[in-house]
Amino acid sequence: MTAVLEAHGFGKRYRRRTWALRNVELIVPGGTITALVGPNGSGKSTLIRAWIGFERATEGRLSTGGVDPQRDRKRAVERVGYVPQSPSLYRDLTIVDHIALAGTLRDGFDPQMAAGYVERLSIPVRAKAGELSGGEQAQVGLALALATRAPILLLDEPLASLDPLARREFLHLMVEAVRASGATALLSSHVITDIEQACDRLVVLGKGHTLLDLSVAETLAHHRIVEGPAAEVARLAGAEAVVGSFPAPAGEPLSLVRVAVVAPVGSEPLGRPATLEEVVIGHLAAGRRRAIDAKEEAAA
Amino acid sequence: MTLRSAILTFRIHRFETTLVIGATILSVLVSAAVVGWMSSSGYTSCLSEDGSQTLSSLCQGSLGSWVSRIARLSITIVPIFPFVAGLLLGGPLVARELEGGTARLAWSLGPSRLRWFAQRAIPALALVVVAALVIGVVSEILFRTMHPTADLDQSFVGFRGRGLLVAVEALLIGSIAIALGSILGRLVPTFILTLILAAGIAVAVDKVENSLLTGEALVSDNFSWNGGDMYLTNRFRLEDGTLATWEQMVALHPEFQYQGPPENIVNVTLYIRFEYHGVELREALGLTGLAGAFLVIAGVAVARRRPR
Repeated sequence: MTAVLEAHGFGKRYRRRTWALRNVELIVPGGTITALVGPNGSGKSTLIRAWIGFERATEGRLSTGGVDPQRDRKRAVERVGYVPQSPSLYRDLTIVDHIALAGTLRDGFDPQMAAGYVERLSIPVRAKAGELSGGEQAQVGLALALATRAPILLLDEPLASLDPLARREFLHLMVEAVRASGATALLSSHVITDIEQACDRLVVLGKGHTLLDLSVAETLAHHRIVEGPAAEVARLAGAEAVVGSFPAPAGEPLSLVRVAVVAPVGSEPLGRPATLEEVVIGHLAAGRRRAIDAKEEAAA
Repeated sequence: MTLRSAILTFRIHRFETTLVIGATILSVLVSAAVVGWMSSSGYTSCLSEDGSQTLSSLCQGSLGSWVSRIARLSITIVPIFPFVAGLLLGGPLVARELEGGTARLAWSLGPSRLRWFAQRAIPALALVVVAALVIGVVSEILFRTMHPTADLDQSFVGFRGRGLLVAVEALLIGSIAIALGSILGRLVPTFILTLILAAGIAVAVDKVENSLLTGEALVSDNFSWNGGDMYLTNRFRLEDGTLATWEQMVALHPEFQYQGPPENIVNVTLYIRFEYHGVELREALGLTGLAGAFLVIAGVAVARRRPR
């Protein structure tokens, strides 16, 4: 599969001090819907904004549909439909005005397609953006991005402020449109349950680094949960296989174990299958542990 | 840029657009009423026959008080209008989009930021210029009515307060506001800095214009103001015919500081007569060039900056 979004040794530092991202190696294959997951401050938005040319790399290089967004932002933007975290609509313009505005800004923008999506979501097209709920505004943002007919869709935590029904409607529309057009989508989100149903790849970012980059199917097949702290579980599974340990809502801590196959022939499988949320939490916990160890090592 | 995009720009800036158009229409209506009233009331016949623009004693009273009110209003509003219109439409043009995050949407939808910038700046500045031009023309008509004996095509009565220069000043203020808004990305600092910078530029332009005009000025030993002249400054004509300021003269002859210059050193007046349109055009071209420079700065800032 062709790589559509690439980051090689990408790093971004703000105000000459704080590194938002460091040494990111990431390839998003064409035709996939990839979830970009990570805690606040892990650099998800920075990476997405860099792919659309809104941020300049401090080190490394990026590619957006084969174009370096830093050198040729115009062509990179032409390849991208972007939905930011907050919808950023013009409060005093109606939805019809937004569609017309997009048409004046972008050649090839499809106003009928945008109006069709908006009407399908039962959003009144004559309403001003300021009169819509946050969920409706996000959906209008998605409709505008889809109607650009761009081959790449970058969605920067658009689900953050949506209620469960609005989230589901948003994802349904996005998945349907992306599958129909064969586009590539990258969706950053905190809401892992929604990702499981919508995305086919998972990338976990933590403390400015890539912690996991696998298809959702592989991720679920190769991770299991064992009750008990990491040190104990390591004796059962082998130290190399324990990704990380994290507290359970109640009882013993849980350890995330990476396995090559569910169970060798003739043996009982270890623990139980991990949910996608547990995989993400396990990797984030491991990433945080590694960062603390590295800091202590440096201090020593 | 299309008509559609211009209309959308005005819709985005609905409040500012309404205010500027409303103020212009109000000004036209009030001025038309005032000019009509002055013409029908025989204001011209009230002026002294010597052409000195003073009201004869018969007409002083209610008419005199009206005229002084109109003069005050005109003098106060016209020079303020370019600042207000330029600030109102120029300030929020980019700054508010950056502050509110709408620039992020627009810049992700439109690959060319300069196209976006042109779609915003051209209609806004066109409105500012047209509105200020209307105000400038109205002001000129008011001046003509109030100074019926002056030849306003030649005279410096109401310099910078009428005609083309009002529109060009508004264009400059609008361009400064757009440039600062693009750099700062915040509305209130944009307003404050625009006012400071515009005031500085106004002082600088006045100084430059004065120094240019001083080189072109007429020199008179016994100047009598004819109502349309532009008084510039006074100089001392030294024995060898050169013109010197007080400081220059005292540097050459320190003894004059306390006893005053002798009779053969004459105090002369420098003034400009019958050059209004030439001076107006030169200043208009200079200010338009300056406005263009600020728009280039704005364009570069828009192309380079990071949206919030």
